[in-house]
Amino acid sequence: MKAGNKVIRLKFSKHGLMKYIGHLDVMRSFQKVVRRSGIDVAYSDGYSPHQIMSFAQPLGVGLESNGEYFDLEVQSADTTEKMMAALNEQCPEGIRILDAVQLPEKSPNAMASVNQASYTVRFREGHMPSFDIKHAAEDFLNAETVTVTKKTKKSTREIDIRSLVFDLVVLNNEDELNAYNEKNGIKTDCGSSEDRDTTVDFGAAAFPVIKMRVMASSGDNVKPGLLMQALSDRNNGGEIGDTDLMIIREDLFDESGKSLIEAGERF
Amino acid sequence: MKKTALSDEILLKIEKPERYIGNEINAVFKDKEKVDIRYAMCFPDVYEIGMSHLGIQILYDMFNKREDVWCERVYSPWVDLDRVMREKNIPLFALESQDNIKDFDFLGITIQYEMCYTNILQVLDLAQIPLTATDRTEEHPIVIGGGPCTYNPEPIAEFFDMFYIGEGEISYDPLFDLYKEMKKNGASRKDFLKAAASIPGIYVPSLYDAEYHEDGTLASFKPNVPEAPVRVRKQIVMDMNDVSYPDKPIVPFIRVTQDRVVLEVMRGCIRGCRFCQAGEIYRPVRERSLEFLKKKAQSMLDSTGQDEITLSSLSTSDYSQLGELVHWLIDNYRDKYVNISLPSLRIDAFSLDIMSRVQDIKKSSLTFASEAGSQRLRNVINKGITEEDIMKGSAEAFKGGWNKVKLYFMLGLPTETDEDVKAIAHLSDAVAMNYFDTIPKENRKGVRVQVTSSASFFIPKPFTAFQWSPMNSADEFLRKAHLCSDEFRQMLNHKSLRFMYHENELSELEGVLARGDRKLSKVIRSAYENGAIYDSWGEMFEKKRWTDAFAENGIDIDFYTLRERPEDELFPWDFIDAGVTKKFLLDEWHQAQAGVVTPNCRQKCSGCGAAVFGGGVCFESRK
Repeated sequence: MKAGNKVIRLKFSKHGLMKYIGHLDVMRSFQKVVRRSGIDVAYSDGYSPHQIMSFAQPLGVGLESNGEYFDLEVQSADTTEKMMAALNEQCPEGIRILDAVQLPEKSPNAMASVNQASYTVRFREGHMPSFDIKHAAEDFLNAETVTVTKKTKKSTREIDIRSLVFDLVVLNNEDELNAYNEKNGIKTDCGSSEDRDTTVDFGAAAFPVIKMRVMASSGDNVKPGLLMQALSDRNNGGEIGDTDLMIIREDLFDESGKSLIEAGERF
Repeated sequence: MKKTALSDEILLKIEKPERYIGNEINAVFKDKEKVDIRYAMCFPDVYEIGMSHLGIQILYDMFNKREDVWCERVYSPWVDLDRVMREKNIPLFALESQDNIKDFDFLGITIQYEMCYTNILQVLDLAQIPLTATDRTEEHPIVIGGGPCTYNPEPIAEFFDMFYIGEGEISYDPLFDLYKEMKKNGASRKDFLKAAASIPGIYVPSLYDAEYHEDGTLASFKPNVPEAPVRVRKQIVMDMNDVSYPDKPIVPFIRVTQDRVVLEVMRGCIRGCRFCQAGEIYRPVRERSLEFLKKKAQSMLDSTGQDEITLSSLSTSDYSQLGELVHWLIDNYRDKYVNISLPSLRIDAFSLDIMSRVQDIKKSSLTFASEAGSQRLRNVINKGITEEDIMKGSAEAFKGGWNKVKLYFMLGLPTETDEDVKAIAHLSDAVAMNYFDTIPKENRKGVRVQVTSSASFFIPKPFTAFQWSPMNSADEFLRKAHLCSDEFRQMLNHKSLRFMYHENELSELEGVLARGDRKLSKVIRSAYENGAIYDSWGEMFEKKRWTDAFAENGIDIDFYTLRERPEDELFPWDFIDAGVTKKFLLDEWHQAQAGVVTPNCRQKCSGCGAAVFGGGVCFESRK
């Protein structure tokens, strides 16, 4: 890193139509957002220089998020507010910069920092499982170990998913959700209402709401679908299809359980 | 959030949902209650191809500058979504509003290549618009075609309410004004079509009758109402600096074929290669000014955030201020990390110097469009490049550090002999040899020169000197390709050479459609009903769908391809006035057979007829 350069960590949300845009295209899109915004971004050396930008963790197509991150190296930066405003002016509808902090020198990058992720999960209308989800969640949390088969592109292996789940709560109605949000200090009105809009009208599927915090390190990433399938399997619930779940990623955390945005200070 | 025509579940199950949701940066949204005309602009191929087309970007921007028009985009759904839409009876929709195309006022389709004809039917069909123009009612959009294939619109005449012949910048305003006025007055579709036929460049097929001789050739082609002109003249922009051009092109999310800012430096080509349709129909050459281009380069780069700009035209080397433009771009955008891409440059010392400044020599390759292997045949096609040019250019390039060369050829050119075919291998070998002669062994650093030669099959096109020429059969194409391939294997430097050739059956079909007549509409329709779509995508093309279609309609392929057309034959496209005269083309056909070259427009005017437009290169002082 060149002397005088700074690394800024940006937190953004991804909603609405943007959930159909894949990770690589989101990255390409941000490169153009940064160019249009006129931010004094740093470029790499070499014959084809590129913006020095690194993303925390890819978000699958179809998922929405209130907590995505990338680190951007800049040659100079104004204030947090001005940088956010300059970027938000250029962001496509559905993407919103929520916060920006400057990282201390020699901080690990966003990707290396990710250890845990929190999600809000709902079942799509008409795809609600036959078992009692709240009961299944309690049963899961009480188990010592829960072995599941995890398939990746390269391998199939058995893992103990119980040890990779830090929190699992099922909320059956509005009151339970409000109490949960209050207890956890979650504000429900962040961002404009347009950006908060999801692609689906939850309708009758608005509840139950399943809140989870799971392992998300590069070695042991638990996708919400894998956990829901584990619950289903323990309750003879059958297969949960790829599009049966509606998933919002809420935030990413480091090993100590701190949100990635807490790694730096506003400027 | 904006609505989507497709449900969340469908979008998540198909490939690349980004193709169908719109919402890109610089896409235009309007209040549909506040516009008079809703126009759906279609490129009948997949999104990534369609989004790369400059003409649509220009017209999209120009139409949307009018407050009373909302122009939106639509592309061919890929085969996965095509299946779902048919199954669930979902009508085709526009990207911006996601509203059904069938409720629009206009559906404009740009027709860039013949092999998209079945995709046009796919678009109409999915939009739930009757395929045949005469079956449409007051409720359906006016379907209008544009683009190079409209210089012979006859094979697809049945499917269109009208065609626009020429460059869109000219006659769309009067067309929109007329439509608005007549719609307000409650005029019928028929009345509008009749009135529109009087607007310059507009051709309404239903207002013309074609009669045929017993042998199948055209006997007469005449308008059947007084409003329709006997000849339809192409419309072109004469002041290239006082005309609409986008400042804010749309920025796609997914990587598209042309994923960069496109700066069109000029239209037309001075060269007059006898096989090239674009070289004739876009005459005369008209350049944009340096000032205009600088302004547009700046606004487009600023508004998109793209990191690459390309200079576009049929032959960018012939743009008279190329050096100044490229240097200005380098001076102003190098330190902003913007790449400059320069396609279609003729290789000489000047272009090599420019390219070495904007490209990574190690990665890039040089392209020579030799088109024919022998000098005799290059004279026949009026390709003004000599073996000496290629040898000198490639030697300079090798010295400059390049070691990859691409050579483009055509097989099946008029008067071609087997010796001409073999000459392709000989020329390629000579280029490889040239590398070894130019670069001493100690300087080669273990890299081997790579010469990649590719051959397409020659297809005679309307409005060229070869419109009278017979075309090779698919079998003959293949024989020549094999002959050429065998010759390559015998070359001294064969390890440095690669030879590739195009799909022969696809080429034959393209040949039929290129010079076809109205009788072919039924064949195209049958092929579509037999399942043909995305024919231009090699892997989708199934010959049987087409051979069955020809048989079902009693149409003989050879009539369109193998015949040498008599000089006095009336062609289906003769009613179009492209400026270039049939007499000039016939002279060129004679010159071709005699192997005589014709000078380019800057060397000497050959009186092609394009001067009738009163501008461009025709009125430049000659050097």
